[in-house]
Amino acid sequence: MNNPSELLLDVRNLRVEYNTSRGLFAESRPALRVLDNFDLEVPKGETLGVVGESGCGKTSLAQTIARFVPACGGEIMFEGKNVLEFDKASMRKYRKDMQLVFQNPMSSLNPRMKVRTIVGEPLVTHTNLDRTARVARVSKLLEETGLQSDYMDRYPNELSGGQAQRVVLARALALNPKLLLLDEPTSALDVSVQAQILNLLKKLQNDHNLTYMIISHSLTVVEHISDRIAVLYLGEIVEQGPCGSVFDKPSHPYTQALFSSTPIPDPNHQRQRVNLIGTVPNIAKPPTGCRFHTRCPEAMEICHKVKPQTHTIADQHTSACHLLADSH
Amino acid sequence: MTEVILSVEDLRVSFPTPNGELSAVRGVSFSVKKGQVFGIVGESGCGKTVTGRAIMRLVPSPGKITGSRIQYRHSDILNCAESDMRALRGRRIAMVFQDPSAALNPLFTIGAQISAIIRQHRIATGKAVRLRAIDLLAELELPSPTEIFDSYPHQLSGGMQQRVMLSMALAAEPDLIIADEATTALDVTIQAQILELLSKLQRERGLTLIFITHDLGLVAEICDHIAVLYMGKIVEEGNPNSIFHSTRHPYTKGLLAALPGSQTLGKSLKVIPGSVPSSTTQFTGCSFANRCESVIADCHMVEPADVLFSADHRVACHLYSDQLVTGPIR
Amino acid sequence: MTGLLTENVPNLSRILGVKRGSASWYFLGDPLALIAFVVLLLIVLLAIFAPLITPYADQGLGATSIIDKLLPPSVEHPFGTDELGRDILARVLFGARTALIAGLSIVFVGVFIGTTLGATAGYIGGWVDEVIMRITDVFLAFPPLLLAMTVAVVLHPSLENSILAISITWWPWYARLARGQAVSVRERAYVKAARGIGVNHPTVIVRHVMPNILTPISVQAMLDLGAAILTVTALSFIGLGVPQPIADWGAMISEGRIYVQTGRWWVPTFPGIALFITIMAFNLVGDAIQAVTNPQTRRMNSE
Repeated sequence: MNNPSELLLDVRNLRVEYNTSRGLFAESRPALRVLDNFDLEVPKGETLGVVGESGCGKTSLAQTIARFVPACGGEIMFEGKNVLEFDKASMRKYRKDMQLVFQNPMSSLNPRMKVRTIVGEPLVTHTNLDRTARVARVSKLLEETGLQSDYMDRYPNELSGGQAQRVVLARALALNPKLLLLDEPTSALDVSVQAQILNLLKKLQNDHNLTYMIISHSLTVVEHISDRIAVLYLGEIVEQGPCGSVFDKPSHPYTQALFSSTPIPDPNHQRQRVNLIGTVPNIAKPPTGCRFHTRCPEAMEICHKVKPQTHTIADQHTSACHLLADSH
Repeated sequence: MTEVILSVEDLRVSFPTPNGELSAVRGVSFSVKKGQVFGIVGESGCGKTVTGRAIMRLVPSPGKITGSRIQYRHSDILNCAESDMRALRGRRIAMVFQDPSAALNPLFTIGAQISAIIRQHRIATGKAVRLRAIDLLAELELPSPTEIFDSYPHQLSGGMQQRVMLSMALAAEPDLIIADEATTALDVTIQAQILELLSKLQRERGLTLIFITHDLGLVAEICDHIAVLYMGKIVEEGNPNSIFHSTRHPYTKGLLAALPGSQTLGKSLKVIPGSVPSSTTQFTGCSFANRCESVIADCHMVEPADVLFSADHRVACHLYSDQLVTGPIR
Repeated sequence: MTGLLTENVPNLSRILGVKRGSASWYFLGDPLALIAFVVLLLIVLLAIFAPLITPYADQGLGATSIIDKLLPPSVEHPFGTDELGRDILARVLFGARTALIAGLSIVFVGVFIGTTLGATAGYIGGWVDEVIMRITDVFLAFPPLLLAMTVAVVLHPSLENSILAISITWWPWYARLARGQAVSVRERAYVKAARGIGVNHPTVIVRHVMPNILTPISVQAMLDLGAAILTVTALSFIGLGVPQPIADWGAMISEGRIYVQTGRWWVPTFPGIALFITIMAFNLVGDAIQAVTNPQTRRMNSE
């Protein structure tokens, strides 16, 4: 495993629950366990791609790491310190060191604020820079993300999807963060704009020595930009490891199904589709044993009853599946 | 030679707006053969959705449809009366949308909605209606079709809702289905299931499918014939092999080069310079000229004519104008 | 409503070549709205310049001239004189001042209190929301005029107290509106993004929530101006509002009523007409504003 001091982010045994009982007079319902015993590692300077389909908990993961949502258990170690135990001052610093870029760039920009105010807000909140200094910095940030300074006076509704995403990135960089959590950074964008943004993300990472955690439902995007990948299903990591290894040898049936279902823009591509049965179970009532067993084409007796252990496939490549137990 | 069931010639759709005339479709011509899976692919704003709606004459006002011809079998869609169109819609041509909640009424059960369609088009009457509806749900591989019949849309998952939408589209036994981003909102594993289903239905019922999407992977996988749209015109059209492996048009090449994937790992993606112009722009010459890397003098002055490369591969580009020049494929 | 009435009337916007679908297009293109707007402008100007327009400014303020009492309309007194000999035109003009000041103040106070409370309740949620909303509900349960009357009886009659009394019944509506808006805005990504940058709650409310809930509130405020004026007038009509000698249309109508029986029709009539025109104008302009700011009706009307 990675040397702990090289990990920017180290999530251990994370548990996140949502309480769905409502109001004073409603009966209390059992909590929705959205993430359970979650372990994730993000080495410094690298990009971790998190993939999964709806209900897998990837957005909750990002929101929990960004502390928008409370965690019920486990630790989130950022630079060796547990984020969940941060006091107000440390939280303030954390907010500078880590930024969450939300899905759908347009909606994360206040429609009543000009671009210059939007990108300048972090500076106003955390620094004592005067107006001229702020404007200069905003101008530089916009330039870095590929927007000329005449964009400063525009309103969000005057921006295209790609431009909005650039403004969001400029704002995210304002306080020189170390970690960026990007939730579906290119889902709303056309192919050609997506390519521009992906190139931009790579450039920014190199220029600023950033660490990325990218959440996406698009395998091709994740494959292109990530160093490591984690595959999520119903609140658990079913497989994770270096991109090359996981894409080369997907070991978990869900990973295999996911990879084989992704349309490849090549009509000659031979597809060995692994078809799943049925639909994603309700997260309020997760299946017993291995959460994937209800849809797994290779489910065995044991899968209904016992939770699978994590097995090592290759260097730093792990998978949680009973099928792998025989070989170890 | 398989018969052509849909023939579109020089379709143009425009909308008057405060900022000028918005030309969504600027002269699109194509033919769809019976049993084909015809893909219309392009980025946002290229006019693919509007094209689909024009075929159904469902373009919202104040949009205007003009053109030489939209012919479905023997019906002249461009000029027929609205009552004739209503007879066509659902019964001959059906449409499936991206958002099931657009087609599913939250106040009525699934069964009620499907039955309404069956009755309206007189596919069955009386008790047979319910049986037929349940059969349809089973055909679309929905678990417990009898229960689903009595369920409400909000009780179903996205994938199941989409299957219900498909069953509603099939309820009146159409020959042609237009799917507009029908699987875009679905998870990839569910999408795969739906696509398998569509293939099966297509084979069993002899359906013709027009698949409108922005996803190049999808069209590569399921389509027999693909038309690539840019700024309201078809820039390249052909079978998947031609489009993906003998790509001719600079825009198509640009699109394919911009796709991330196993070939591009970590490297910079090749980007099409500039950005998509507003649909209110009027062009002299080729609409892609100001972004094209292979642009030549003619591109700014004259609209490119179609060049035929093979029985089914044509490109609208000046780069190839010295080769065979002919009109749209019939 | 205005659009329907004017479908077949020649379109001024088209004549002037104004940009289609824009706010001015709509206003200029709808003759009724345009007339209403001009009338409103006129009323405001007349109110502002009242002392300069009429030679009887002192009477507008209350000076009496019993000798001239109950004179019919003539060249010197276009609207006649009232029971205290005061020029009714002057009284009507000064009454416009009262009406506008009262209306604007009521709406302003109502918006201020209501929006602050409602936005805070909506944004913070939890028990703060519950408490504020229950208080709002209590106020909403009272018929506005009755509540205003009660307050007015308790406090002695004056312009300020009338405004206060009515504002107390006005703010709950804005609180509800603001709360609903705030609840939907607080879930927006840009609010979360601001929190993600480390902005504190009060700053978020002021910088991100308030500006984005103002549109429906300002539209509502515009629409309410007419109603506010009407309420003040009603209060004065029953004698609990603005006291003499301040000119108020409601009071003028109320006091002038009995003179109609003796043939002095002009005493309540002119203030009545002034009130009617003013409220109509506010309502028509309000309709037009609503149509312009509502994207759906805007689309329907831009053909």
